[in-house]
Parts: sequence; structure tokens; C-alpha cells
Amino acid sequence: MYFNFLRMELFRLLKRKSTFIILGVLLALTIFTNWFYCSVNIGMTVQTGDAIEEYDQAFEAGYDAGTQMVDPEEDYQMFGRGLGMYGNASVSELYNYNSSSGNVILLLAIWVALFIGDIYLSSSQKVYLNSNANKGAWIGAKYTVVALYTTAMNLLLWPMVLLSSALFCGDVKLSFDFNFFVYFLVINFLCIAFSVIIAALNDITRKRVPGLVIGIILSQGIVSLLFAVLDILARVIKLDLGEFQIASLSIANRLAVFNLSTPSKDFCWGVTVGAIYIAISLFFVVLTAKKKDVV
Amino acid sequence: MGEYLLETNNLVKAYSKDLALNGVSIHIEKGAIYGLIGRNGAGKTTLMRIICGLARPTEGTVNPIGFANNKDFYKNISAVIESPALYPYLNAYDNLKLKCLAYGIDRPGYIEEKLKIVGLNGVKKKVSQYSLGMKQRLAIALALVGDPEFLLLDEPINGLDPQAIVEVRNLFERLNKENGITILISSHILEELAKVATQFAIIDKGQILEELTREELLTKGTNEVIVGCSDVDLAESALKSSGFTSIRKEGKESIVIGDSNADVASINKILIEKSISINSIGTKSEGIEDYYLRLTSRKV
Repeated sequence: MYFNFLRMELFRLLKRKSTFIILGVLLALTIFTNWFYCSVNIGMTVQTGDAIEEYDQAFEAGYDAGTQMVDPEEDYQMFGRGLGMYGNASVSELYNYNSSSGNVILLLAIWVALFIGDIYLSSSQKVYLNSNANKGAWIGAKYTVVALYTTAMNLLLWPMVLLSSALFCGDVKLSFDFNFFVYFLVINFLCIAFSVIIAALNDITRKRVPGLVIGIILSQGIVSLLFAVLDILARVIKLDLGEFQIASLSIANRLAVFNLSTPSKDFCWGVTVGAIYIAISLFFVVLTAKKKDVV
Repeated sequence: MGEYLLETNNLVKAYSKDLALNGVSIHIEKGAIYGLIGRNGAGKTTLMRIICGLARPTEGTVNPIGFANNKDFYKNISAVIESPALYPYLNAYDNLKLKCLAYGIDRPGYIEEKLKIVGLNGVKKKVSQYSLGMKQRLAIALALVGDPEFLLLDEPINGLDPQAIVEVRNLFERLNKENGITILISSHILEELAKVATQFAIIDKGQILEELTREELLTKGTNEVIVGCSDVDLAESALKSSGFTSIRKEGKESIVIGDSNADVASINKILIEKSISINSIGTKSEGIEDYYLRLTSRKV
């Protein structure tokens, strides 16, 4: 039964326009992101020499000299986010920049909410869910397809990055090292966990909109901000958390901070967090399916 | 009485403080077209949802006695409950293809065969462009995928035009007679249901008021004799003296005799013997609608 439902969901996946539109939007966003990083010099600049002295004087006088667009020919130390200025970025590094930008999870949130929410919008669950065996098989099939699409999206991001970096980032290095492989596995797992949360929200509420709205909010790191506030509060009330940061419980936060040189213990923590979210989400999905009537 | 396919025993379904079903027991014969009659909110849909496993009863059981076990039962039933459950961005073929994939059906021409039954074969446009009647027919085709032995159809003729109603009614009869499918149909369009159903259950406020066969319904329905005559008072006293008790006057020129033994010939003879001139005489049979109204109003 599971494989039958899996074939059904894969068929539905391929028949949905949004499946391909989302990938098109990801390509557009990747091109834009790489053009932005590689072609536009938006680096924060800190001026040196006399300029620093002037800045300090202004600061002491109560004025914030702020950030200035400066002429690169002058004597400035630059802390650019634009990789293009180094001229030797690798595709792996650019992939990391694109992944951490949040584009992938934003689009995943939209796609998952559309794909799973569709079932409730059309009430098609009534056609199939007349026994618990069917419910289990369908849940398994749906979440397998969600995981497969998430993985496909992360895999397709690589050629998209390659294409856009070839267009805008000049001399780009192709490198396949072990660090990138581990990084890919970890962020893909976190993306799957994120997709599962959104799908679970749809399945638990049995509506499309809550998953869509909460998914977009989560992908934009607002929850990371909430965790950061909790972090501060914990320190204010002198709760001894040691080096632990509550913000590290956020998937969006983990995706934003992980890079190719992240220590393996941080990766392990990220995977643990993702696994916990998946387990909790699936627990409530199964509980809802078992306890509530089909609508 | 035929062999039973399914029976329910004292089904109760409670939603917070409301009882949607209150001790519902029905008995569906194998090969029957079982009509579930009731007004909106009477509990028809809830009963069907429980039978096909979409909802759990608070109390009571569904006993699929005509099937080997529950697994066999769920494998052999199909339902169209409430609105047609279709993906609007797919065409008719792809909607059926999805269910074929779920059921592991990979027979060439199978989908076309089902679409042909409901007259939608070759229709290429997406479901979002369908009329309600087309959606209903497609939902029935979807329900036929898997060749079920037992079909549950909740208000299947809602939104259909008169011609489509006739087509769908013929389809039900064909499926029942040619394919041997037992059908449970709910509807509030009683006259339509009366044309196809062989068994009936009248449900009101979550309770079964009566369960009866078509033959029983015909005998239960009252017949009245209506006489148009010149002197209704004289006619009334003549009939009363002949032993008729259920007599009522309708206006100044008509009298209605509702006794079970009332027949045109004997009434005609009595009135002629009393020299009462008769303008018209005829019978009026009570249909299923009248019977339903009489039964439900008695309960109220």
C-alpha cells in the first residue's frame, strides 16, 4: 500500500505546476543572489588613517558617522560580503552563501504548504482514508515525497549556483571536498526537518493557510530572533546555560550559521535538533490521524 | 428477506454536546439500493462517514457481515461523501489515474472504461472548469475505481439538471443490476430516491424512524378516495352510516374518505343508493414524500 501511495504522490507532484514554478523561482533567486554577491560591492567599510580619527571624533561628539560608500581606490580596509571582490570563490562557498540566505527554506515552506494543503482543499483524503492501514501508508508516502522534493531542491541548487556564478563571479573554482559533502548532508537534513514541520502543520490543522503562513515566518528567522531574546532573558535571570544558545534550537538559525568549516560537534547538534523536530512533528501527525475523524 | 451485506448496531456519534446519531441500527441487504431519507442535519452524512470508516462512532458498531473481515470490507467499498473530492488542476483522466495508482490498478483502458460509464470519456479540460453535474459524475467514476461491491453515495444528484438526474438514476440501476453493486444512497429528493431504492430508512434527528422495503412502503402508504358531489353533508352521513369513520370535507363540493377499506366502487354504490349526484370520484395515493412528512411530523 505504501508504494502505491508513493507512486500516487509522485504522480501528483509531477502534475503540479508549482513543483516546477518553485524551482524556476529558486533559479531566479540564485542568479540574483550571486549577482548581488559577486557584482555589487556593498561591503561595510571601515576607513583607516585620518578617516578613522575623524570617525572617532564624530562618535565622541555624539554623531554616528555611519556606513559610507567609498571609493575602493582609496586606503580602506574592506569587510565585504561580496565574494566577487576576492575573485577566487569556489562553487561550494557560493552554495553555502545561497543556502544560508534562506531562499531555499522560504520556497520549501510555500511548496510544502501548497502540496500538502491541496489534499485538504480538495478533500481528497475522503477518497482514500477509510482504514488506519491506509492512513499510515499515505502519511509515509506524503512525507517521503516531501523529503525527496526537498533533497531535489538542494541538489538542483548546485547547478544553479554553478550557472549563476559562471555568469557573474568570474574565476570560480569547482571543488568537491569532504567538508562540502558533510555540509550538504547536514543542511539537507535540516531542510527536510523544516519541510516536515510545515507539512505537519498542514496535516494537524488540516488546512493549507496555517502551514503556509507559519512556514514563511519560520523561514524568515523570526523564531531565531525569539530564541535570541529568550537567550538574553536567560542570562538576565542568571540561568546558567554555559555556552549553550537557545537560538541554536532554530532550524533557520542553524541553516544561516552553518558553513563549510563548521565544527563537527555543531553539525551533530544541528542534526539532533532536526531529528527531534521530525520526531515531534510525526508524532503529532500520527496522533491526529489516529484520534481525529477524516474531514 | 435477502442476505445481509452490512448492519449497524446502535451507532451513536456525539460532537461535544450534540448527538449527531443516537442509536442508529440499519440492515442493508446484499444487492439492494438502500435509500437513506432525511432532512439536512438529520445524520445521513455522519452515518455514511462512520460506515465507510472516515469517522469513528462514539458508541456502537458497524458489522460488515457480507465480507470476510474488516480489511476485505474496506477494500471493497467506495464512497462519494458530501462534495466531490477532486483535484481541480487535474483533468478527469488524471484524477482517476491517481486512485488507480493508489489501488495498484494498471490495466490498459480501465480509466477510459470508468469514464465512459459516466459519459466523461475524452473530456480533456481540467476539473476546475467542470460544472457541478460533471464533478458529481466524475466523483461517481472515481468511486467506481477498484470495482467496489458496496457503494456509498451522499446526495449524488445534488446540483444535477433533470436530464443528468435521469442519466445518473439509470446508472445506479445499471450498476446495481449488471454489476451487482449494493448501493447506499442518501438524498432529500425523495421522489427520485423512491424510483431507484429497494430498501429505505427514514432518519430524523439522529434516529432511524423506520426501516422498510419498497413493498412495505407501498402498503404503508394510505389511499384516499376523493368524491366531488352536490351535497357533501348528506354524503358524509350516508358514508358514516355505512361504517366509514375517516371522513373529512374539503370545501363545499368535495369529501375525502381515508379509511383503509375505502374503495371507489363501494363508495360509488352507497352514494347512488342515497340518490346523491356524483360529479367526480377518484383515489389519491400517498407517496414517499407524504409518508416521510407524516412520519417526521408525528415525531415532532
